[in-house]
Amino acid sequence: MILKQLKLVDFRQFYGDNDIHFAWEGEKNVTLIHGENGVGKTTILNSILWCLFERLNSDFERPNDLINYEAAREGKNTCRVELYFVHDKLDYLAQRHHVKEGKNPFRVYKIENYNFREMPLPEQFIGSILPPQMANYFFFHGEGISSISDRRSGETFRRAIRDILGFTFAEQAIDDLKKVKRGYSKKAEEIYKRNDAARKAAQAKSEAEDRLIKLQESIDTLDTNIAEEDARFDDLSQRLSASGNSDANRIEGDLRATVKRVADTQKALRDCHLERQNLIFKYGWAVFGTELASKGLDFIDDSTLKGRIPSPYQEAFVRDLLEAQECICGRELHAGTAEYEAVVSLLEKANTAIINQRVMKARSAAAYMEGQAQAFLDEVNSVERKREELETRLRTEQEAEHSLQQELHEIDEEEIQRLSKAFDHCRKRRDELWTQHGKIQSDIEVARSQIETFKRELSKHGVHDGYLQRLNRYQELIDEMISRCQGRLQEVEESSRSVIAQTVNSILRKFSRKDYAIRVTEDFIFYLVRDDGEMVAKSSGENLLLNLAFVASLIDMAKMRENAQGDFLVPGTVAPFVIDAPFGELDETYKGATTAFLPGTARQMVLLLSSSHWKGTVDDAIKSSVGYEYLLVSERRAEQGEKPDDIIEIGGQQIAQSIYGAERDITSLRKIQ
Amino acid sequence: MTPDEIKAFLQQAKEDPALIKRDTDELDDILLGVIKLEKKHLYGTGTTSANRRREQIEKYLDDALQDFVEGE
Repeated sequence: MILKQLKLVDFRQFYGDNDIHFAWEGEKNVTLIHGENGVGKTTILNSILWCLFERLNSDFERPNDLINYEAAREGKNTCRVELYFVHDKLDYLAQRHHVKEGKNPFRVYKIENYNFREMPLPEQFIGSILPPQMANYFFFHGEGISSISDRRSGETFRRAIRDILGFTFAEQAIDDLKKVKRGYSKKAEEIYKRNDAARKAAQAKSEAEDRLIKLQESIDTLDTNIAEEDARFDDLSQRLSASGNSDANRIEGDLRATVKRVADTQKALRDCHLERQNLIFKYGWAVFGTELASKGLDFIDDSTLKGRIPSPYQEAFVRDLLEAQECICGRELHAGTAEYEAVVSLLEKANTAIINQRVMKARSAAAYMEGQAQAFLDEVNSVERKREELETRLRTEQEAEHSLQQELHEIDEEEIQRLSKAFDHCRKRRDELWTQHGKIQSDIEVARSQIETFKRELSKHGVHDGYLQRLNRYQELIDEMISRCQGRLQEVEESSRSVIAQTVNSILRKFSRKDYAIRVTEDFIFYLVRDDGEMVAKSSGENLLLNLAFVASLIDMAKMRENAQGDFLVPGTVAPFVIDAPFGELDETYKGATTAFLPGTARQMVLLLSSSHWKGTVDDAIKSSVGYEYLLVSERRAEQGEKPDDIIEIGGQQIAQSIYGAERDITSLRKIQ
Repeated sequence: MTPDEIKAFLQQAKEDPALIKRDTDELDDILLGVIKLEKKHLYGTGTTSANRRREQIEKYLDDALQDFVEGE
C-alpha cells in the first residue's frame, strides 16, 4: 500500500476539504508535515488509522468528537476521511464517513480509467493489504512507546514481532482448535455417562481439565507479576548504579550478579523438585507393585523348584496314553475305570504352550517391575544428590547476597539506604512469587498426570464403541495440530528475533555515537550492551533511537515477507511509515542520525514534526528525500493583541504558523513550495 | 541458520514464494484449512461473529478428520 492523497472533510480541526498529497515515487519518498503541538499532527496520523480500521490511538483525546466544531455549529452532522492509495499497481480509494450518533460506513473503490468500482467486503480487502495488527507499527506515535529494555515491554515487543510476522491467524487457530477439542471431549463424556464406572472417570477427567485451565491462567498472572517485580528490580539497580557513590556502584554490580546466581540456583532447585515428582508419576506403579511382583516371582520360583510350574505332564503325552488305552506302567485304561479317570484328571493340570507362555510372561513382568523399582531408586538418589548440592550452593549464595545487602545498608547515605530497603523488599516479593510459581507448576504436573490416567481408564471402557473411539482420535489429532502450529510459530519467532536484532545492530553501528550493541533475550527484552557484554543504562534519547531502529527493522521484515503466500502465516506487506513526533528526546546528533536512516527503511515515509523536532540537523539530513512539504496553520478568530508573531523558517522561507482575526477557529494546510 | 542466511533466504523467497512451501502431510493440509477459515473470518471484521467462525471450523474439522481417520 502506497499512499497518494489524504482528504479530510470537516474532520476534527480541519474544516471543509483539506488535501494532502504524499510523495511516493523514486528517491523523493518523504512527505514532511510541520505543525506545533495541538494543531493536528496526531489527527492526521489518526485519520489514516480511522479511515482504514475505524480505530484511533488510545491517547487521542475526545475520540467521539470527530466532526469539526465549526462545521457542527453550522449544522453539519457528518465528516469523512478519504485515502487514495496504490496497491499492486492499481489505484484505490478508501472512504469512511462519520454520521453523528450513527454508524461510520466504509467503502473501498477500485479506480480504473476514472471509473470508481465499489469493492465487496472492504474491511476484508484492506485487511489483506495491511493487516490491522501490523498497522500500529506503520502508523507510529514516536513518543507513545515505552522503554524498549523495560521487562514489562518484553511481551509488547514479542507481540510486535508476532504481529509483523503475521501470527494472528495461527494463534487464533490454536485457540479455536482447543475449543473444538473441548467440544469433542464433551461429546465423548455424554457417551461415557451411559456406563457408571466410565461416567465417574469422565467426570474426574473433566474436572482435572478445568483445574488445569485455571492453574494455567494463574501461572500466566504470576508470570506477569514476576516480570513487573523484575522490572522494578532492574529499575532500582540502575538507580543505585547512577547514585554516584563508588561503594554503592561496586556493591550494586556484585549484588546484581549474586541475585542472578541465586535466581538461577532456585530455578534449578524447582526443576529438581519437578523431576522428582515426575519420577514418581513415571515409576510409581512399579514401586508400589514391587512387593506384589516380588511375591509373585517367589511363588513362581518356588513352584518351579517343586516342579509344579510348569507341570511335569505335557497335554499331548496324556492324550496319547488315553488314545492308546494303556498307561506307561502297563495297566489298561478303559473308560469308566478308576485308572482311566485318574489319567483324565491329569489333563486339567497338564502343561500346554499357552500355560508355558503365560508363566514366562508373568516371570518377565515381575522381573521387569523389580528392575523398574531399582531404576526408580537409582534415579531418585541421583536427583536427591543434585538437590543437596543445589541447596548447599543456594545457602552460600544467599549468605553472600545477605552480606552484600548489609554492606549496602551500612552506607551512610539516606537515598542509598532507602533504595537498599526497596531492593530488599523487591527481592523478598520475587522469592514469594517464585515459591507460588513452583507450587502451581507442581499442581499443573499433577493435573496433567491425572488427565492421562483418566484417559487410559476411559479408553478401556470405549473400546467397543466406534464413534467414541473416533471422538478420542479426533482429540489426539487436534493436539497434534496444535503442537505443530505452536512449533512452527516458535521456529519462525526465534529465527526472526535474530534477524531483527541484527538489523537494529546495523542501524546502531551506523548511527549511534557509542559502540554499543543490542542483545535480545528469549523474553524479547532488548538490552544495550558494551563490547564486554555488560548491560548499559540508556539515556532517553538512546531509548528513542533504539525504538525507532526496532520499528524500522520490523518494517524491513514485513517488506522481506511481502510475497510469503501459501504459508500459514499472514504475508508481510509494504506500507508507508507514518511517524508522529519521532524526535522528541533526541539531541541534535541523534536527530540527524535518525533522519538519515529512516527514509531508507520504508518505501514511503510521512514525518509529522513540530519546530522543536525540525530545527537543526534534520533539514540537512533529509532534504534530498523530501517530495512534498506542508505546514499546519492555526487560524483563530481572536486578534493577535500582544502575542508575538509565530513564524517558522522552512527552506529559507519565513511562514506564519498562526493567523489571528480569522473567520473560524480551525487548522488549515499550507503546501510549501 | 545465521541472520544473514535467513535474510538471504527471505530475499530468495520474495522472488520464488514456492521456496517457503514445506513438505506437508494430510494433517498439515487440515491445519491449513483451519487457518484459511480464520483468514476468511478475521479479515472480514464486523461481518462474522466468533461463534459463527468456530461453528464453521468445527463443521470443517468434522468432515476433514472423519476422512483422515477413515484413511488410517
